[in-house]
This record gives sequence, C-alpha cells and structure tokens, in this order.
Amino acid sequence: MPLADISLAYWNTVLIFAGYIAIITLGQYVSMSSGSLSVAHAAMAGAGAYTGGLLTRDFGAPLPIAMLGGALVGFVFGIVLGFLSVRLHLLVAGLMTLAYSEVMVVVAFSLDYLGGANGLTGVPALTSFWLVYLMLAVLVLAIWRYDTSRLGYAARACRDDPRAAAAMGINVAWVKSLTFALGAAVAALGGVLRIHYTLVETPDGLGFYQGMNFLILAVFGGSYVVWGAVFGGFTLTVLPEILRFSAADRYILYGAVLTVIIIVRPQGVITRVPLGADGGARWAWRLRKRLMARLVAGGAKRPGEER
Amino acid sequence: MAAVEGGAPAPGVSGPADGPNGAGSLLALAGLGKRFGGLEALADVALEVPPRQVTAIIGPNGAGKTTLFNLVTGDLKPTAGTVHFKGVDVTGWEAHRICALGMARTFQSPRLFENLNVIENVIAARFVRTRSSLVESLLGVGRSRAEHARSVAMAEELLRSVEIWHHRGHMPKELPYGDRRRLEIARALATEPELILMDEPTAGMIPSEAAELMALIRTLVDDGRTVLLIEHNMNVVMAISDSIMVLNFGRKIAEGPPAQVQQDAKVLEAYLGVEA
Amino acid sequence: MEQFFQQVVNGVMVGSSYAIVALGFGLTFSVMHVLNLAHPETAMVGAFAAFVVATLFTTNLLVVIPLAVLAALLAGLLIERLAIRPTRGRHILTSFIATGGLSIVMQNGAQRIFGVDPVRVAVQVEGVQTVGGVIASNMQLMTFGLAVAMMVGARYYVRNTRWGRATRAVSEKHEVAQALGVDINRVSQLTVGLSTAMAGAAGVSLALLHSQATPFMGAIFGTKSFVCMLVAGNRHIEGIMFVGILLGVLEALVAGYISASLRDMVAFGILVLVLYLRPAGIFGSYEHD
Repeated sequence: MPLADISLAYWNTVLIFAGYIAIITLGQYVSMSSGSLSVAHAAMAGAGAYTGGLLTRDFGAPLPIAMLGGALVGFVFGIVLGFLSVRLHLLVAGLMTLAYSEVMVVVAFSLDYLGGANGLTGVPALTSFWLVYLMLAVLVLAIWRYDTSRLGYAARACRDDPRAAAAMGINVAWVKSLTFALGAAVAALGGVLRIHYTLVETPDGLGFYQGMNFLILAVFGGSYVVWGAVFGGFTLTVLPEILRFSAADRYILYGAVLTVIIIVRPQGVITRVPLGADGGARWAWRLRKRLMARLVAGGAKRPGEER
Repeated sequence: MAAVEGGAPAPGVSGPADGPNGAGSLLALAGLGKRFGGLEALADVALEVPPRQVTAIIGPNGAGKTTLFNLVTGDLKPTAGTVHFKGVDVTGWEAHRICALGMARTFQSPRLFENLNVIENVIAARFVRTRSSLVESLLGVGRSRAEHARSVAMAEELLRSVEIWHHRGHMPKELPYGDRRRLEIARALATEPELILMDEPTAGMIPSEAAELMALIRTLVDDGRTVLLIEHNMNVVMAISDSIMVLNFGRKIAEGPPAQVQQDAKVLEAYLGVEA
Repeated sequence: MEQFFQQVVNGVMVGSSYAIVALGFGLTFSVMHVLNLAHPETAMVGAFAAFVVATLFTTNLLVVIPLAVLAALLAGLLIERLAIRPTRGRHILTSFIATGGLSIVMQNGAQRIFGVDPVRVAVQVEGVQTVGGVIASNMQLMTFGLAVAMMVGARYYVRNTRWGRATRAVSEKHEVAQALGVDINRVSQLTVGLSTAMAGAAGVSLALLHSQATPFMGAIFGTKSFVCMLVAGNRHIEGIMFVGILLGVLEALVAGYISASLRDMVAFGILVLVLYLRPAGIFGSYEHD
C-alpha cells in the first residue's frame, strides 16, 4: 500500500513542491493568455532561482528583496524574448523560446560563478509552507483580476485573432510582449521560492524538457482560466506522488494525458465561465439548441453560415 | 432599431480637418496602389470620403475592394500613394494607431474573439479608449473602476442598439450568422470611431435582416459618423449610399451619386460585360 | 585543407539524415497542415528496431534496414491514427500538443524498455574509400546513398504518381480535394507513412553510423531537423535537402575548428538569422496561420 507511510513531513514537502509548481504554471498561463507558445518558463523560473539565490547567498538580501529581484530579471528576459518573437510565426516563436532555454542551460553550465554543472548551492532555507501558499493565493487573486482587466481582455483578443485585435486598436506587439514578460516574472518568482526550499538549482532544470513540462501542466489544467493552471500544477504534481510513479512512468502518463485531453477537451480540464453568463442557463440553451437541431435536421441553412 | 447612443466620436476632434489632400473630407486617398509580387491588386486610386455620409465601394469580385480596405486600415502597407485620415497622413501606420485616431472596421467574414463571450468581445475593443494601468486594475483603484464601469455600460448599450442584447452571455460561435455581423459592428463602435468601414455587411443576410442593417447604418450616420462600405447587394447600395466608387481590375472606373453611377457606361460594361 | 574536406564529408553524411527527417516534417505539415512533433521519435523507433533485430536475429543489413523501416512506418501509422487524424483541421497548436504528448510517451517508453544508457547497435559495414586523403567509410557512403535515393523517390512520388497528385490536391485545400472525391484519411496515412518510413531509415543510418541508439536521440535530432524545415520553408524538397546538408557541414566545421560545445548552437543561430531576413523560410511559406 503506497499510502501506508504518510507522514506529515513527507506531505509538507509534496505540497510545497505543488505550491511553487502551481506558481510557475500560473506564469505559463499568463504568458499563454495572449497566445504565445512558450517552452521557456522553466528557464524563466531558473533565471529567477539563480538571481534570488545569489541575492540571498552572496549579498545577504532578505527573501522579499530576492523575490523582487528574481521577478525583475524574469520580466526583463521575458520582455526581450517577447519582442524578439512577437512578429514571428507561432511555431517559429515557440522554437525561439526553445532556443532561449537551451542557451540559458549553456550559460548556467559554463559560468563558474553560477556553480557550473553542480548548480548553485549554499542558498539559505527561507521558504516555508505558509509563504508558498500565501504567494499562491496572492497571485491567483491578482491573475484572476488580470483576466477581467483592460490588459487581460486585450491579451485574449490577441490570442483569438491578432488581426482583428489590431483593427480594434490593440497594439498586439506590445500587449503580447508585456503579457509574456509578466508571465515570465511570475515564473521567476516561483523559481525564487523553489531554490530557497530545494537549496540547489542545476542547469538541466532550465532546459526544454522542463519547459515542456510547464506547458503541459497549463494546457492540461486549462489555459483559458486561472484555476486551470492551479489545477494542472497541483494534480499532476500530487497525483504521481500518490501513485508512486518513477520519472519515466510519470512522463508516460503526462504524455498520454496530454494527447487525450487536447483531443477530447481542447480548452483543458477546467474551462471558463465568461462574464455575464450563468452556467445553468447556458447549458439549457445549448441543450435546447441541440434538440432543435435534431428535430429540424437538414433544415434551411443560410449561405455562408458556419456551423 | 434603437438609436445608437454609446460610442460618440472620439473626443478632442470635431469634424473634418482640412488635410493637404482634400479640404472637407474625412478620408482622402491619393494615387493609392498595392502590388503583390508581380500582381497589381490596386493602382492609382483616389477617393474623398466626406464626413457624415455613406460612401460605397462596388465592383466585381477581385476588383481590389477588400485590398483597399486593408490599405486604409493599416492591415497592409501600400506600395504607392497616400492615405490621409482627418488631415493626418496615416500612410504605412500600424493598424492599431489608425484605429486610435478614430477608424474602425468589420471584416468580410466576421472575425470575432471566439473565446470571449459576446459582451466581452465588445469590452475588449474598449482597450483603445481606456487608459488604466495593470496595477490600477489589479488593486481596483484610480481610473480603473470608473473606466470598467463605463466600458460595461457602453457595451450593454451597444448590444441593445444592435439588438443582440439577449445573446450577451453566449459565445460567438453560438450566434446565428446575421448576429455575428451585428456583434462585429457593435465591437467596432466600441472603439468610438468617426469613420467605420464595413466589408459586405449584408452578405449572407435575408432581405429583412439587410433592411434592419441599413436602418442601423442610417442611424450611425445621423449620429455623426461616417460610413465607408463594400457591398454587393445593389438594392442596399443604391438605397443607402450618398456616393459610390466603382472599382474594376484594381482601378477606379467611375465615381458619383448612385443615380449617376447607375447610368455609367463603363460600370454597365464591367458588371454586365456589354459593350456600351 | 585535408582536415577541412574531411569535416565537410562528415557533415554531409550527418546532414543528409537531418534532411530526410526534415523532409518528413515538411511533407506532413504541407499536406495535412499538422505539425507532427512525434515524427523524430519514429527515427528513434527505427534505430531501436535495428538494435533489436541485430541483437536477437541477424546483422544482415538487407534484413535490418527493411525491418527497422517497417517498425517506424507502423509507429507512424499509429501516430496518424491517435493524434493526427483527430486534430486535423483544428488549430495548429492542437496537433502540436497532441503529437508532442505522444513524443513524450515514446521517449519515456523507450527509456522504460531499453534504459537511459545508449545501447550498442552491432552492425558494421567494413571498408573505407579514400580520395586525396579524405576518408569516407562505406557505412557513411551507404547512408548518404540511402538519403539521396529517398529524396529522389519522395520527389517522384509527389510529382508523378496518382496518389502524389491527390496529395498535392489535399495540400492546397482539404475541402476542395474532398469534394473531388479524394479520400483524405488515405492521403493522411500515405503522407505520414511515407514521412515516418523515411525517418526510420534515417534513424537506422544514425544508429549504424554511431553504433548506438538512445531513447532521446529523436529529441535532439528532431529539433535540428525541425529547424531545417523552418529555415528552408516547408514546401521545397530540394530546399530542405540543401539546408539539411548545409547545417550538417556547418556543425562539423564549428565542432572541428571552434568548439564542440558550440556545435548545437549552430542550428539556432542560423534559424534566428534566416527568420529575421525571411520570416517564412528561404524557399517560402508555412501555409496560412
């Protein structure tokens, strides 16, 4: 029985893991909200972790300063990467984020100051359960508000149809770069919390594979609503722990789940209830429409009508 | 249709400016041309759009009408000529800047934000007329509250005026085709345009719907807006336009009030293929 | 100078494998408007199939290569059925993620079965050819010949056969082709099958050249092939071949003259440079999106 050895310390660890993974996934969510495809968020979290770790270890900075510094570095990297890739084809832009991740890995590897292949160590333990969950709560609240803010609506307009968004006066390049950078900052913040708990950050944590991981978490949970990212980050961290999966098995599960989810539920597990729509009425309306369609199947269709 | 109250013309600009390329016209095109590689989609088009009028562009398929729209709105950059809007030379400007100056458009087949619901589609278009920063929005302080309230109120008003209020909570894909077009118009109006460009607004509509849309367009003009439209439905064009420009093979072949264009030999030839 | 030509020869050999995998990427993308991220994993499947056959049964190349190609083909058809057919006509990201999921399953499945460490593929082709001091092993030459043959074959298929013409019709517009009576599912199978069979052959080639196979070989190799496809543009067979070989040569030269650790940066460097000058690749267009 895998559940037999439940101990408080063990679950404390798992939940802290889940907490900062959910935070990094929230960063992924914010960057995706304007339609960017990113596998760079592990590298962003890594940039935050290295920055934060150096600040507390070598400069004796308190954790809040380290968090601020890490987020700032994430934001700067994010805005540069955002501007570089904003005018490119979606796939090429995605590849740019991949290239960025790999460059970051090489940089972390080759700078002795950052610890090289052994990673950054000697960082003080400053992250606690309550801190992680306080930050998670604050971020969820902030991003939830962001979603219905001026910028949030503009971001989603860019995601759905950049050309129409531009015609409606939205500066697509700026909105996409800015939201990408904000997401990168959130991910970097998660990274700062991570390194002050795990006490080590290694270059391979920044790579494409880890980045793909956060993309998966966000897409699985649902990339159209803030709860989706939290759900994805949480379940896919805690579930394999309960099931006691090896790393390879976990990835096999991830991959299979990802494929199935994107096909049967393209918006992810958690989907959005938009402003002014009450769930029940919408359901009833859809049901009615479906029934009507059945009844008058093959009925007159107007030219150009897309169904 | 109810009068459209929301979205008065952009503040700070009253009436037409006397631009270098046309005293008294809101939009002035001169020598406008576009080449795609070796293909000349549009050549040497001049047009003056007077304010508070309906100007229509007609012409056979492939005449370059939509290309003209794309050049005017900044979606494409012209390879020749200039576009003056409100007296400002906006040639080669990015689309969002031109929109900010007071121009909005609809597309040939509606391009809605499919993952936002109906009212959110309109609210999203308020971006260009609102200023609150993200920090203000997150904290709910400063301009953000008032701006948001005003955006929502205006969106509601616009949805009522184009008569899709009952769809406000639905997703765009749940809307019938005609209502998708109305939503696109409401969205365009939310940017408070002085000039609104409509690309075949009555395409795919039944006659009664088309008639309602014409009434809506008239209301817009009565409220002080200017409309430039591409239209295939000749009944609509003749009934609603103050003046008409006819394009064929990327060139202007006729221009004038409906009655005059109707009689024009070149137009008859382009449309009917008759030697006149 | 001899060393230079030696690097060029080595680069051409590896590059031709990049090109073959990139060609499959481009073919699937052009025809089905789907980006098959699991495509390079079929090369890995081919490599491991070669390992299994060579270890358990025979090291005869005439048996090893066809069986490996067959394994890759079957894997490809499975991918087509599971992730490409259901996502056809949807947003490009949908197929990207669906096939990406399968790619993760395949990599880790292989790791589960064969372990993380490289396995030894004990098939050898003896002998070398020497021209003016530049050495090319018969193995390299065979690999290169195979790649060129597949290129020519793919080109002939698309241009001159009945199914090839149907394929081109589908690549223009799915609805129109359907109206003309083309079975899109069949075209989808044929396209993905052809692409992955070629990838399988490239996988075997790599396994033979390096005498080893690893579960993650597709990931590294696939990324570079993907870059080749993006740099060349997806619709130009000769263009993809050219860029693939060029990348192989540049990598070999960088590794030989500057630093081996910079080798993997070459592809991305070229990508960034080219895409700033020509956002749709050198030879044109990633469809409409």
